[in-house]
Amino acid sequence: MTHDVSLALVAAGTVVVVWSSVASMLLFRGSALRRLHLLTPVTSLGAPLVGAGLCVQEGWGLTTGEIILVVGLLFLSGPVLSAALGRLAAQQEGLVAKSDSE
Amino acid sequence: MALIAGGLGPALVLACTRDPVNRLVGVQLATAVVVVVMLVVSVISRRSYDLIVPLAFVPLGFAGTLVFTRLLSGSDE
Repeated sequence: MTHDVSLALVAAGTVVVVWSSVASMLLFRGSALRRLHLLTPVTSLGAPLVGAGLCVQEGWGLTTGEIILVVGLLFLSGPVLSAALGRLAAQQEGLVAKSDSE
Repeated sequence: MALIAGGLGPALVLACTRDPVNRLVGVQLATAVVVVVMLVVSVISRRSYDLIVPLAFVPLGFAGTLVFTRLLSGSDE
């Protein structure tokens, strides 16, 4: 039962990650701003699903704590990086002034 | 294998083509996928001490991407 739940969670996370990667390569050719929409599901949904599946498989312990820490860091840093990259892409496309620091 | 082929492959293609901003998006995507792959590999191989690698990789990737963002923005201060 535990193994089945773990496998389902990891499989779901893998589907999200693979789908986001493939779609970001194939769709929105040339537009980095639109491509960023496909980057966030990897850090906000795919990685937590995979991490949850691995935690269920491992059970309570230090390994699970470390997995939660890694996934948590990835979860928090993903939107920040997407915002920074989005701002850079907007500057490159002329939507935001380059001298605007706010 | 699905993560490496289906996740890392397109991310590397994206990181090697087009303009610098798109390449940086590809690098960030590859970073996230590599972290997930390392988590899975460390649990499958039953070597929990390997988890220190993704734990160190996440903040380094975060800082590195921000550095490249700053460099590409071209702001003069």
